[in-house]
Amino acid sequence: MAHSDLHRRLNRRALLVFVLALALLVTATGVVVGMLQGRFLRVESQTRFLTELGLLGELSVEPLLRSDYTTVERLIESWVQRRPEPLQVTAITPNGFVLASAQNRESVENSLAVDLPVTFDDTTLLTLQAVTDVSAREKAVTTIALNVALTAALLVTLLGWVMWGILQRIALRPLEIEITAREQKEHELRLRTAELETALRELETFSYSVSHDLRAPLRAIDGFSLVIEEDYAQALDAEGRNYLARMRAAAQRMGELIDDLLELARTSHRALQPVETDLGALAVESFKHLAQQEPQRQVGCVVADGLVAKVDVALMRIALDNLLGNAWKYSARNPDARIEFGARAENGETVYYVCDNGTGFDMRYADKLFKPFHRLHGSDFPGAGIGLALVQRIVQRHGGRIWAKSAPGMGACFHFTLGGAPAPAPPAASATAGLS
Amino acid sequence: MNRPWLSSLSACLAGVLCLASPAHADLVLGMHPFKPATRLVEAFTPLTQYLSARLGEPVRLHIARDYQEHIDATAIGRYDFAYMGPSLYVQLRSLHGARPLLARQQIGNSPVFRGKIFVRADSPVKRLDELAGKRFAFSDPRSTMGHLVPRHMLWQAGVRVEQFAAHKFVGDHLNIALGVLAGEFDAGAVKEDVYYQYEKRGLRALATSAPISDHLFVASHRMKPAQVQQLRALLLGMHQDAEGRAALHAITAGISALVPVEDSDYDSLRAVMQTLQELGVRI
Repeated sequence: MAHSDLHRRLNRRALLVFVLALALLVTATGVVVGMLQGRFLRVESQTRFLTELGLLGELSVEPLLRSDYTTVERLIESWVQRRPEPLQVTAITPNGFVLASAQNRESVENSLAVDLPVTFDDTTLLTLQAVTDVSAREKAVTTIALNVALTAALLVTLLGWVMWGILQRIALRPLEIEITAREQKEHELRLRTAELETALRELETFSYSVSHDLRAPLRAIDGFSLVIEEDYAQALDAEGRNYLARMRAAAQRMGELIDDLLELARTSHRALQPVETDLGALAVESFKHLAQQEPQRQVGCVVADGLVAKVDVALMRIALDNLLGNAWKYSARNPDARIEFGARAENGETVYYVCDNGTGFDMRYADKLFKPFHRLHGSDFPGAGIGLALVQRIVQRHGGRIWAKSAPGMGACFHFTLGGAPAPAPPAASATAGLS
Repeated sequence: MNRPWLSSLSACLAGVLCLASPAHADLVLGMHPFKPATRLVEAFTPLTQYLSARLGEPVRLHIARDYQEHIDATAIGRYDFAYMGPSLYVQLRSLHGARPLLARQQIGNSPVFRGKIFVRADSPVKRLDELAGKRFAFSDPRSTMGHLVPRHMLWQAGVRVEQFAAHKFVGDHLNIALGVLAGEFDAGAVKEDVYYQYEKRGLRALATSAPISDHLFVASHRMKPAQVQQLRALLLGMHQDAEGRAALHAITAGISALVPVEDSDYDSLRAVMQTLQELGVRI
């Protein structure tokens, strides 16, 4: 909800800034337009005034030629009195005599002075000196400019307000509702994740504790079974010794299971220490170790060059040991066993793979591959069913993901990434077909 | 709202219509154009209103196009009565015989008036005889103080019109004063009230005429004696009431009353005009 309020405030502020900027722009434009209009009005007004004054001069020519000065006086007086603006007109004869001087107002504040000679046949008969008041005109110009600017600003503000309303109705409100819903879901998801993490930690802690605590009595069982086997074997018949041996094997098997559980738990708890690592070298070490355990097997191992990644070396060694160990194990029945570890670029990320030509598995059960203690091949092959779960945990802790492609009798390919990028589409079958 | 142009136009139109019609109900006061028509309408409208109210019939003003038309219209009776300048009256009397005289105007306490011959204040001319070779402005050939009397004065000073560099008849007296002030003319002649109106703007008088009996009202010979008597009595009594005095002042600010008039009051002017005619001046 806090995010919604923030969004709303930001939107409102952005719109306000936009409207203010627009209002300023339009106001400035209005002022400029008003000034231009004012200039036009001034020029137009001055031109009109000069034209009308010129007409007065033309009307004066005829009576002047008839020496009818009184008519000129009356013309000027009448013209001045009928003018709406404050005006003073003085008619001066060529010898400097003021023939007429008429004024329709007492004060002429903001004046415009014009001298207009009245001529006939290139002879100046009279000079009309007019002083007119342009303050009313200037006020009108200012008023026009102000009105234009204010109207523009008002219109823009009104427009902005209407736009804000429309925007809220058609865009922001649905967006806010969606954001609120998403935030609600995210919040719920975070809560659920936290709950899950807590539960997982508790479960891992519980597993670790149980596993750890189980080891002591198990060692006692195994130890005392060994004592019985070594010191009291003659007291038992063959069947008893068989039972005793099976009991010891079961105890050891349980010990291995506990070790695996502890490894899985440790893997989850341990802090990552990523460094640049040659994964190929790790794989080679792993292959050597496997070959030492079963020197009689002939397995074609292929490791690509340049498989360098920033990983936690210890964890990645465990992961590769498990993946390569699986491949080794499930290709045991193929006399021409072949295991390949490599990588390819796919959708901008590096996809590593471990492929073998072993027994493979049915993809219908692929979802059980990475679950602890789930085994697709039952007791046909040794193992506790914890290895791939461990590998998945390690890959996920590196921000990657793992998946597998296989078919029964066709070998298997395990693909994994080590980045945080979203999962790409599963690799094409043709990429692994040749290795299966 | 005062619209002098419109009033003038309507007055002129009314006059034309009146002249075009042989029989009319209104009394018509004829006027010679010694001032601009608008000023004449402004000056005489109070009088026509005053007379209309008291005579019980409308009195309208008609302004003639020129002095000759005014004499003719008065002579043949197109006007019921006329306001005339002294020289016009003398000419009317001389050409068309006697007409009933109603009254003459009295400015201040004097029923006579004078004329001035003047130049611009900065003019080097000091005497009338220095006007030879100058440009001179008259008003109308039949104007008493705008032509006849000053021309007689000039003749007495030894200056003939032919000696002027130029002379021009410019209509009303105001144009003479303004024309001299504007520099179009070096000198001019007007009746003295016009001179005093413009003196402060830069005029200087060279000479003043002898007194001449002032303007007068003349009745048409068609007007019935009783009506003449009634009209004369009204005019002569105008100064006795405020409205009458206001109407008189509107004609000319200085008029104190309309006073009785005799034909002999114009003998001095008649002599001047006689002299001028003998000198070949066409009047």
